[in-house]
Amino acid sequence: MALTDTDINLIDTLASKSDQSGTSILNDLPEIRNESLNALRDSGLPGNKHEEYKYFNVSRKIKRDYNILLPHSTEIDREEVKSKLVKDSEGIHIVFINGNYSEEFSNFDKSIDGFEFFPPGDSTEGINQILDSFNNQRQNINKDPYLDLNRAFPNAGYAIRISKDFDPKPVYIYHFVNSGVQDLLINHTGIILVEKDTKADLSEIFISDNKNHHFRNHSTELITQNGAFVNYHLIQETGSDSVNIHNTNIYQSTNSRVNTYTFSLSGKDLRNNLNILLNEEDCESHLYGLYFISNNDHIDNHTTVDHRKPHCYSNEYYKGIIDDKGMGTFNGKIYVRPNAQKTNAFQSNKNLVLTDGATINTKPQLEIWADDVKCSHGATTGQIDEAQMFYLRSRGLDKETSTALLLHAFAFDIIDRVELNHLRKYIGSKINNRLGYQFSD
Amino acid sequence: MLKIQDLKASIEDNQILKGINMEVKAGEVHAIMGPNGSGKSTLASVLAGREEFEVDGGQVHFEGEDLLELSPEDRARKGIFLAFQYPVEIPGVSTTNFLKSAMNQIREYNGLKPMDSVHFLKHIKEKMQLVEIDQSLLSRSLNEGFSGGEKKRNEIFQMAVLEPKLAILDETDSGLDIDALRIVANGVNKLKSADNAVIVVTHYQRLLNYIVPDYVHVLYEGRIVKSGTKELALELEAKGYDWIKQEFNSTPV
Repeated sequence: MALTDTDINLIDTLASKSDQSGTSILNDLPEIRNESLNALRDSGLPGNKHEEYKYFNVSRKIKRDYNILLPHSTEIDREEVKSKLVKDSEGIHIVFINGNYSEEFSNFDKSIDGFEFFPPGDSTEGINQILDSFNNQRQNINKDPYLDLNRAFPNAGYAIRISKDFDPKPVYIYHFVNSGVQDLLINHTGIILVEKDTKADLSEIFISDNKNHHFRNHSTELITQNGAFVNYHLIQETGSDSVNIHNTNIYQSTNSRVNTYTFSLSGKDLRNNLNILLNEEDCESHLYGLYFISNNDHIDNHTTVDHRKPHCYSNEYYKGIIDDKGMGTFNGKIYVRPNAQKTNAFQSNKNLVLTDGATINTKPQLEIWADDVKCSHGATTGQIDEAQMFYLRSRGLDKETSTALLLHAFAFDIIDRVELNHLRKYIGSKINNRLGYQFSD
Repeated sequence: MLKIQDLKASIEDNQILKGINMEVKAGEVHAIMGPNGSGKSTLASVLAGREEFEVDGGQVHFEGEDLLELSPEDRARKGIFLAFQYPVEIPGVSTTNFLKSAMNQIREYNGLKPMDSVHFLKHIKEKMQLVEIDQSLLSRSLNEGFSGGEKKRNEIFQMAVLEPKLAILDETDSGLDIDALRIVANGVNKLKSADNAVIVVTHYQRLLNYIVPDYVHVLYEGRIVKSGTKELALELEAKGYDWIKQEFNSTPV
């Protein structure tokens, strides 16, 4: 990809500011930063000719000058922040506002067995193990220009280590933007290590206001050791004047199990790259997703499941509702490498398009080099079923209620798979409010 | 209660109903019989308001009001109920859940207060016994994975819950074994009163042994070509439809 003048501009501007951007979790890994900066200087950011970004071209929306010094916002509506947390008194709640860790809203305390949390700047001993395990694994993941941007100019982040002594409590990590500052760029990196035979329920929740243009470029690196079992939830309600890119890289070890749940509820330009690396044998992964796109939002979900070793199982199930002039993309890649025999890999994507102005691009992409495998994929795109609609109306339900009921059923097929009660209700009520659905179950 | 005058309807430029005349009074049971493709199910669908059908002419009045002007939901709210020939499956929607909302929208339309959960549960328990349907079936996704008989029983259950003035049973007997048929028919009979009416659309006389009609109409090529009492149904069962067809085809229209 050719490097444009504007890319050079942006890179130079960010480079000139990077000494003032504050601390990042990647400070101790300068080689990653240099590598990424070089990659960025080589290739720049993707334009509309980039195959992976042809439907998601934000090059014109990305400004050439960004603030990378994270503001400690003084205008926080405390009640509002609190009202947006998941109502789970058992949970560990960790809150970032404009990329800064907020002790005030978080309830993390160091006495929790088996759970360590490191905000940036906290370079106590324990963090090295997390960084090392990340550094050892990261080579095999898909390259992405925004991931390079994230790593070249990091200005926020955290690291978490969860080990066997942890008495599993849900962990909620919130990322609020209520920027009073124009043109904020947050390059946030979260690195999470879940150790051997450990269960963890993790959620990252993104909420932003619509005050000012901002660009959130997040990455989450999740490393699971042998026998770990992780539920990872991503919930996104991002603003109408923002660009949001989220790279999630998950590295699985022998006998580990990871379920990911991606809920993309709003976002003017929202892009998810979810990469799952099945690096060792006997791994299991489930990828669930629900995107609900309205107004003229644009939400892309790109996933890669990379089967590199034998005897792994992956199952992907994404559903989408596209309303108004919304546009969505689902791209699901499955790689089955030559020695990944006895792989089971399945994928399904179902879409409901509610208006003539709504668009969905769906593309399954399977590349299979092994011969003893079971793989399947399917994608459907349709409208609300007229026969179902008539059935409900013939019982006395008006059109709006019938539509809400059918969309509710479509969406809850995914929501009901969330194992955590409080979180399921949290997401469920957001969807129900959006649908005007008022039934009790 | 229901007055149909010269009703004509088509689907995709194909005229199916070519002038139906019929009147149903409160307390009556009417059977509509006829060979396949004669327009029986089309008539049921048009009365319920299915939008794929275009009404080309004629009038339908329900309790003095122009029925054809009303949306499907308003017809239901005024007291019309269609028991579907092929009830649709709706994954993720349970019968009890949607039925409670339907019932309350009907009540609201008629100026009644919504029924609370306690009364609603009591109400549906009563009706469950009537059609011998199990609670577990009602909390499952609507009709999903139901047998043919379970689907039809669920239709009659919904009818029992909503207590319509006019119930239209569209081939409710098809796909039912003899036991299920008796249960369904019993349910219908118990709901029968001097204030409501039933139109039974059927191909066979079998169901009419259980739900005894006051009038029998034979539909052929989009028209009612013969009307009579329950004896007409027996005659059709014995002789088939060919004699009707011959009689009709030899009569100049």
